[in-house]
Amino acid sequence: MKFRCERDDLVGAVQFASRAISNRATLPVLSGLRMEATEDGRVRVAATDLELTMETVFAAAVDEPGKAIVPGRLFGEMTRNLSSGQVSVAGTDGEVEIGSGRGRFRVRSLTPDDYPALPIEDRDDSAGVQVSVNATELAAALSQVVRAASGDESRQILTGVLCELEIGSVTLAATDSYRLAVRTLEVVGGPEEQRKVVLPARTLGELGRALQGAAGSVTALVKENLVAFSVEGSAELANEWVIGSRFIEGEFPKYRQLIPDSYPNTLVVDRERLLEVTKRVGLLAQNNLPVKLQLAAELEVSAHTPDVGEGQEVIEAEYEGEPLVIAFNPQFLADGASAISSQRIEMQVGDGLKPAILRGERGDFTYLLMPVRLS
Amino acid sequence: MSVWDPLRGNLSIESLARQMSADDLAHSWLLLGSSGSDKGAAAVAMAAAVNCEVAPMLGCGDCSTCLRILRHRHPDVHHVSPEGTFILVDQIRESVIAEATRSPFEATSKVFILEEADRMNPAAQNALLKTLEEPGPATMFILLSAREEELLETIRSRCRVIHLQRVPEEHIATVLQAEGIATDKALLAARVCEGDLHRARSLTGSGRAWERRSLWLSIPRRLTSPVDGLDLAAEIVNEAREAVRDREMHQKDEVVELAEALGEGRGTTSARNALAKRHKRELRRVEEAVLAEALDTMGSFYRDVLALRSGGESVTNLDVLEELGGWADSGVSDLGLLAAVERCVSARSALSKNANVPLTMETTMLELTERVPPDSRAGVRS
Repeated sequence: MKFRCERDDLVGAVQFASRAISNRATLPVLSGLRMEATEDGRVRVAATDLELTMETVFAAAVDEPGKAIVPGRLFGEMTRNLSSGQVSVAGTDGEVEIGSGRGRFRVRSLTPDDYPALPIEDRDDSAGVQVSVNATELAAALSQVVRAASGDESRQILTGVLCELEIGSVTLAATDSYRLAVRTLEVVGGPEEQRKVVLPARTLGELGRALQGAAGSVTALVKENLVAFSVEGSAELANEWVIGSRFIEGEFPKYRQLIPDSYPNTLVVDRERLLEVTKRVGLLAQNNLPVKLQLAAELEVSAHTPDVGEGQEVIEAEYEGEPLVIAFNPQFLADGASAISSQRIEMQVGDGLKPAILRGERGDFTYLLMPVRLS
Repeated sequence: MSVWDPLRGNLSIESLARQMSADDLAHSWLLLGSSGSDKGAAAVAMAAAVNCEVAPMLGCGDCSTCLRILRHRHPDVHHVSPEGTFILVDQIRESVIAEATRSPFEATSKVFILEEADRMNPAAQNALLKTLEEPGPATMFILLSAREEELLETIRSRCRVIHLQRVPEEHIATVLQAEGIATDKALLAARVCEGDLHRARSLTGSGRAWERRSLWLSIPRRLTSPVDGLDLAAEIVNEAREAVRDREMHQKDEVVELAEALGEGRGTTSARNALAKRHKRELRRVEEAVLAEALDTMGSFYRDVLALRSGGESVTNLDVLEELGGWADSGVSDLGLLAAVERCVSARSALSKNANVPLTMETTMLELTERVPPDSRAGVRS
């Protein structure tokens, strides 16, 4: 393998792919980045921790097509510290040489035979379902849903996000059994029969990061054992990438039956106000104590931690229903409020013990929140 | 060529290979056999066979998938082995349960090979149970063990149990000779390794194993008083520590390699800590292995004396036949010899359960002095 390219292109690609390198890799070769130069003037850079695979491509003058596995972190640091301008990279047996200006650097490379085959490179879509979705919309949906996934490794299925794919739409759902976030968004394409997959929240978090600033559409190819999200780049290949993820296997809780059709009590409140008050009052809800919401013509949020202090604040609101008191974990309440993008939030409440529903003005997002029982 | 080729000659493994048919493939297996029964190699061959695309259910041994599985470098074939005395519940959660919930990375089937599965403590076995009961699609578990009785009944009952035979002595001798070992040494190593090809290789290899064996064989003779017993116990423990120090040198190289691969900056702490933890447990294992070697060899010495008295057909330590003969002719009682063999076995088992090393060795040596009293050996030629 031998090619010449711009330092910035190389650095950008290496930094992107390096995000998939894990320190806890089980195979030593996974600490490396796979670089492959092809005759058509493209260099692909890929890394995987097996769960998450990230690959990107940049344009280069390829003198000799070929492959090499370079030590990820070292190569990343080295390229980042090169001065800008042209860089040459040449991989020979067991070594990779980087040339920049008057500098020559040689680093030991890793055994290419040990590197796993990357299934995301198999772009044959005959065996899978392909859909495309607006990149900005997907990024927004991910930021709404992923936060509700569980961090508790003992129930693996809840560390993932359920994706229900149908013709024309996908519904994303995540829950840690204290709250549930559900978002529906439009897609182009889809399977005849509903297809459900659960993707690790971590990979979707990385996907959300990669989507920041992306315009246009993302293609998702759902195959038997993985999904590959890809973004087509411009003619200069800038910003072209693929992110692949394995599935979490298992039965996701039947979440739809948890969401009641309607509740008798409805509160409408300004989102910003609710957020800032929850944060402020929440400071006095320590040791896992909840914030208390008194729903009436106005909303009073209060908290009290023995031996620490107490506080309350009133928010103007519109309320239809019986006056009642309900208490929530302040962090979970704030998470829900900040996930909603509209100016006003609607909160539907049954009674102090039933889960409450938070919705925005657009009907595509639902946040279900379990109350904390007041003693 | 097939992945089973190197295992030809072991009838129970050949029968296992025939059971790998696609229609009726069990998802949980328990391969039972002593350390020489090649069960590790058999498990790897099974993993290659189910995943080989060139020769499905056979394993061509030649494609990238087979080659990486055979080299233990395949992302979907997971090897779990005790990093210390036990396989703890955390290790099962991290390396098995979390991984078992994921779809395979590139292969047809994920395979989990649990080496020395009997070293899972009960909590770890119970944690594994649920996954073993309801494995996801395309998941295969292969548990390896030499000590079936240490496994919970609930685990055993969920597996297809295969009893593997030891590798025959003649086969080991042939293999060693083919590897360039002199005939005399190969025959003796094949005899004393008790059907364990790896042990035979390490005995005839470049390490200190052969010298250590002479040392272990000299112990019964040198055990002439309780004070000697304590000295010898210290000598054995020191020998084990020596092996630990050798291993430590290797580990230093590994740390350097890791630093080369990952750099030493931010974010590498967890990898370095994980390695340090693994190293620490590994050292305990090296120590235990050398002590087990000592106890096994001494046990086999006493057993040989008994064997000689009863006709002498199955003597293991043929190189010290003359000394064994002297013992057989002496006044040492059969019961005493039997108790000595039993003591060696029980000490070994105690060590595998994390017993205090110097204390166990000292009490063992003192008891051996008592069971096989020096004065009863009057007339032993040494």
